[in-house]
Amino acid sequence: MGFLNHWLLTILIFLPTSGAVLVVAAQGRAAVRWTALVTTLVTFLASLLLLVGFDWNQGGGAYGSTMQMMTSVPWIPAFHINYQVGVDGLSLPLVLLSTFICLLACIASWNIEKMTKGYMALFLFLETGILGVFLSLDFFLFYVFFELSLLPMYFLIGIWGGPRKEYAAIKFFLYTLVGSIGLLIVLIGMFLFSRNVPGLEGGTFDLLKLSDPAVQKAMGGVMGSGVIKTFFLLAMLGFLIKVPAVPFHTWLPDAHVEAPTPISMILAAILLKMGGYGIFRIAYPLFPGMAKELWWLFATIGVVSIIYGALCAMAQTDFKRLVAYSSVSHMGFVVLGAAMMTEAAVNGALFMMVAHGVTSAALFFIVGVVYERAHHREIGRFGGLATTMPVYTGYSTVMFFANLGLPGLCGFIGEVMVLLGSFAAARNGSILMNYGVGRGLVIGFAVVACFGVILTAGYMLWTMQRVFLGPEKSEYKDFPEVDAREQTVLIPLVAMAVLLGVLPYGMFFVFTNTTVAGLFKLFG
Amino acid sequence: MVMGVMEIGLAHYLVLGAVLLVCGLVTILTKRNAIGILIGVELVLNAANINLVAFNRYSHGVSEGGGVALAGQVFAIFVIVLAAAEAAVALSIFLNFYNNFTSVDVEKAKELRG
Amino acid sequence: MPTPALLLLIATLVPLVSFVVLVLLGKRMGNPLAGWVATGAIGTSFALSILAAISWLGGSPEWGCGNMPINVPIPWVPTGWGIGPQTKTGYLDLGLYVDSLTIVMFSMVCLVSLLVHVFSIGYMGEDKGYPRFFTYLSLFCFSMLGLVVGGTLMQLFVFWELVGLCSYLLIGFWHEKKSASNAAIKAFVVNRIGDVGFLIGLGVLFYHLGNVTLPEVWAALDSSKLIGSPEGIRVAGIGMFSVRALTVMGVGLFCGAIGKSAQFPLHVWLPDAMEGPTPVSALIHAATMVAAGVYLVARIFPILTDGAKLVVAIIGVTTLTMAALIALVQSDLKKVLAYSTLSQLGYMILAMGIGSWVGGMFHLITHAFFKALLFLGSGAVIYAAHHEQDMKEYGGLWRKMPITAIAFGIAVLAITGTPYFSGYFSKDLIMAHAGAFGALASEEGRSGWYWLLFVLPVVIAYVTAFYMTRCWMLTFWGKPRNEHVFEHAHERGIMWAPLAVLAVLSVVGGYDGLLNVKGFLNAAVTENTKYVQMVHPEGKFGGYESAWPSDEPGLSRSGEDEDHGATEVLTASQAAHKQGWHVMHQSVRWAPLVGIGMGILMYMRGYAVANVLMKAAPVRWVHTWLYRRMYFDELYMGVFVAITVGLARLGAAFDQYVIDGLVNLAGYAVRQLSSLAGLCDRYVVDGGVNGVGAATQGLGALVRMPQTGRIRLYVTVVLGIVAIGIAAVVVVVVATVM
Repeated sequence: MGFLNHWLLTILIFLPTSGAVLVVAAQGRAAVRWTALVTTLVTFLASLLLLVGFDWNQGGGAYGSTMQMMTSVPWIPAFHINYQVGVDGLSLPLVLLSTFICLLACIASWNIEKMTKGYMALFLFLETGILGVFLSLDFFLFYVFFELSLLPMYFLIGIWGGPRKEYAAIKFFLYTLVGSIGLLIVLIGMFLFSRNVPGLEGGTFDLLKLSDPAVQKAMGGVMGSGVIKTFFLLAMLGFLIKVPAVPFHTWLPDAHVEAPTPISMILAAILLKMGGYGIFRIAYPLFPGMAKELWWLFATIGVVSIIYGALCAMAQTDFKRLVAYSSVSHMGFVVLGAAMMTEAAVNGALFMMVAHGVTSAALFFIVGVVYERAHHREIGRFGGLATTMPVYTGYSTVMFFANLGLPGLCGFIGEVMVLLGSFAAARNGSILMNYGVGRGLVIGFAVVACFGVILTAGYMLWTMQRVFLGPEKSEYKDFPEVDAREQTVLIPLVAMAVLLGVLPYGMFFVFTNTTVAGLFKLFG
Repeated sequence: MVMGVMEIGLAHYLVLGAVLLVCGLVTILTKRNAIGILIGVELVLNAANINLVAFNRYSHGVSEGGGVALAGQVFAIFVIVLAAAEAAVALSIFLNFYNNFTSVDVEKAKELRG
Repeated sequence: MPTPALLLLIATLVPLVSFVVLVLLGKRMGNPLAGWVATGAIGTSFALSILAAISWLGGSPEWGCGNMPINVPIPWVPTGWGIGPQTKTGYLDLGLYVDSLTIVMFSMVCLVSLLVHVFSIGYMGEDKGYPRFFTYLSLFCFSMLGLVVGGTLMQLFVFWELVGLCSYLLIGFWHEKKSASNAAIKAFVVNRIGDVGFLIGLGVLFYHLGNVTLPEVWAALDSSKLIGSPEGIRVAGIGMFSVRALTVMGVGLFCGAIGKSAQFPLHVWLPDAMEGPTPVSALIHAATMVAAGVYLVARIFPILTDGAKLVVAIIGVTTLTMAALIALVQSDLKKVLAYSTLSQLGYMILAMGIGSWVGGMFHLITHAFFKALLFLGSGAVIYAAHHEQDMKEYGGLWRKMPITAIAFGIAVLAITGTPYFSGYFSKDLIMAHAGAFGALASEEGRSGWYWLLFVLPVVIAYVTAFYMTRCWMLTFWGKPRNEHVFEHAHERGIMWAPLAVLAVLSVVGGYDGLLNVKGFLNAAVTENTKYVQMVHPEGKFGGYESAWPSDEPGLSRSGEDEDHGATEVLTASQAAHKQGWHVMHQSVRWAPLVGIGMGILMYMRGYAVANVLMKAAPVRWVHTWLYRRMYFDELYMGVFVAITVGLARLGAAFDQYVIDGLVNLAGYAVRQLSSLAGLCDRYVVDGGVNGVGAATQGLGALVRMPQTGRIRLYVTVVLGIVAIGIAAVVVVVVATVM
């Protein structure tokens, strides 16, 4: 157990890379596929071991103290850069989500015929990048993985994508890179300023140390509020682009439309979560004061994302684009939840990330299934699939309703907790109220966000009607029903949607609760 | 000075030398044949020899001690020896040149043009 | 967990099990096994609910006719308040709350559901979606029962949405019909609009209390506390809850009820919902789900401020008037019933607003019986008439379907308030309280407009009697207007048996002695008051004080009142109550007689009289206006839907052209900048480097020129230079000498 506690995270991060090496060595398409599948499966099982090692009864500690299974090895000693990984309530659900979705995406990749070996190798490499982002606790290491995940994605979209793949891949890459630059500035700046802190001579990239209030106090004296504000905004820019929040979102629809189905699944389900995770792991803990000061900015961005994303989704004619915009709308809840800074809202935002991971992956796969048969994605040209493919329609209905926030399915919990949490931010004694924010403004944001649920219901149901309902169309009459492979992908997703929706505590909050409580100690 | 009997003096030698020199130079400049140029060079050298010997005779004459000052003559001999050697070398070059160009026309020798 | 709660919990979960089984195996079971599985499940639930009622009644006598309410909060999601996971106060709870009201509602829902299930086995027999239908029905039963036992506003909201889902699925059951899927979407989205209000109300409540468990909410925000302090309620440990916030919260929660109970202005979905199979209309859109809005208002009644209650009453009275007028002229049988449902729901909502808590809930129960009967009766007719719903094609059907005609007739008598039928008791109770409300307003010197809340319902009681009679007459009486339909009409046992049961209930449902619904409801009031008082002894709980007593003054059962005799001094509200009953008796006594009489006279011979009336232009105008449902649909489609869709298009265009335009512009600008940099590089930087090279080369070429390789030239040059040198020396020497 000791060995596992010490090295499990490292093993987890580099398992997919070793799998990628094996994939490169493998001969024949089938061998490549099976190697990749076994690798993702083993990674998933290894991530389940986290649950065994995870101590979920540690209550009341400070933010850093809930970190578990930490490993810290000097990496570049000249700059005090460590290979430092650890897991806590913020990262654990996302790690599990990542390995889970990667496994399913690997199954969904089964029909990739073009350069299978390269695809699978990049795919596994991507998984390493993702897990690295969620597990690293060193700012530098985080940045390395953050960038590392970008590269395979670029090729996966740019080579295996649709007709405008080059445009989409470059747009995706450059957009995210712009954000990364902000992050890089913050990264170097924090390192340089941290050298002035007594006890940290030589500087540090350690995220836990940097989020220590005492350290921040010492650094704040040197940095001055202008620099802190700039750094916070730069870091937030990096993460908001990744989330993506309006107005930094336009890379998403293009990337999704061009990306192959499994890559869309990963992109929506996991890559977007890096942005949200970054907000909660880096931007807020490192700059808690600024987070309070600029709450209105992010609340606005969140609310605008919710409403605007939903409106845009309603106007789309491309099925995949619609789902992409729906992602923008749903990730708006994450930003809003972060801005409101109540435990209900933050818990809700974290839940939203996982719930959206499940639903968006499923929705993109659902689009992929019908695209594979019809070779187009025009919503207006579909119709009557409920008669043609009843089982497929059944799965789709569940996921559509999960996406529009029906109680009992996963989307609801996140939405309702963020909304109720936003109202709770108007409570006497909440962080924002203590900071002196106008109560009417907080309630105003919350009320406007509530209207998002109408729009969501509107466009999801309208889409359902146009795609699945109505009389059966002759050109789709001979579509085969979802096959065993497709069901293998859909059933776990549906099961997760139901489980998360019915047992949110046992499936999710049991991990995050103490960490969130610790996080709130930082905000004071 | 009596005009009737012209005594041969230094001036005559120098004039002869100058004439020879000019002849040599003109030969060098006008001849395209390498052999001709070599002949011109010989003329220039011998013009110098005449001057050497003449100056030796008229500037020193007989030395004080009764000995004869022969420095000019020695120079002249050196020059003759060197001229011989030079002619030998030059001729061998010309031979080689002829082998390559089947001519001894120096206008053809432009290989060194920059 | 005490026995009744446990029984109800199991009864709630049985349909869920049936749902899961049917999802997995429904297709394989097929017709009719799938239907019987679902029916068996709801039958079990019904039996359990009866057991629960019995066990409930066996409770301790000091708790009224029932028992101590059972409150079982179940922590669900953590919401913070800075409290760790060990203490349970930082949670948003789901949970059960069982009181006499729960028992009554639960039994009613189970019973009506059971009857509808049985009916559906016949009605849906030939449909190819038969297993799917029962799958949805089971899900609905689970959701509805979960709603009824809900002990926290969160649970109410969760199941609220779930019944909405079932409503969506069942309205759009015949999904190949575009009108059906349109109606389904409309129902869901319009309900969502109401739910946003619910969510906002819940949010306002939550941010003040952090707790949504019913008794806690009642205790904390008891509206009677406002009598002492009109500016707001101070909640210990939390702070001031202003009367404005309370009203906003109450109206917000009520918005949910507006959506679900299809009240004005969100009523438009219910008539369209008739696209669903008729048993669904009976169960969901008449008896149970639409009544959930009223149930919700009943549950939050103790925390509604006077302002919020007034809003509730106005919405109720508007709906009941509007819907009854529209119902007058509809020719689609189900549409008439739909509008009559709206109107009756308006009565219940009005009842809640004016403080007739018992009356509203009482009417909910009786209405469930007779309206389910009306819908199932219409279902039997529609089934018999080959899914023809237009009354213009009916007529004279009583000869072919006597049992249906009688049952339908009983329901008509019940809904019109004919004495000694169930509707008579509940409707009169509401109107007596409306009268009392108006009288109290007059006594307290408030506006005379409060009397409208009494006058309109009374007038509409006459109208109701008229249009329900019209409905019956056009369907069953007179000559057949469509021979084909008439020929085909017949009755089936599995379908008329539930009708018979409901007919009996429609007759006896109102008597105190039999089902004792009113007794249960009165018990609920006392139970809840006592319970809250017990849990929170620190203050006096008066949440139900603004509710009128359900017994007619002067008919009081206790002997003490008689002792006071004529010398008794009445309080203002007691006087108003007495006056209310008085004016009610004066005004509605003749409603059934007049309404039914008029109806019979007018439709004795089919459309003959109506056609004569239609010759007058104003009548035609009004008719058209009402027939087109007062143009609400057109208004909503033209304004709200168009605005939303327009905004969506605008947003998408903005995204595509402005935001993406900016992004692409930035990309373009960078590309242009880089090509500029490329030019600069090629011509300036590289030009410099190449310039140095070229200059060197040029110099070299210049220097090369004399290097001809011609030996004679070299010699000439040497000689020339020597000659020049000599000449120069000579010049210098000569110059020096000179």
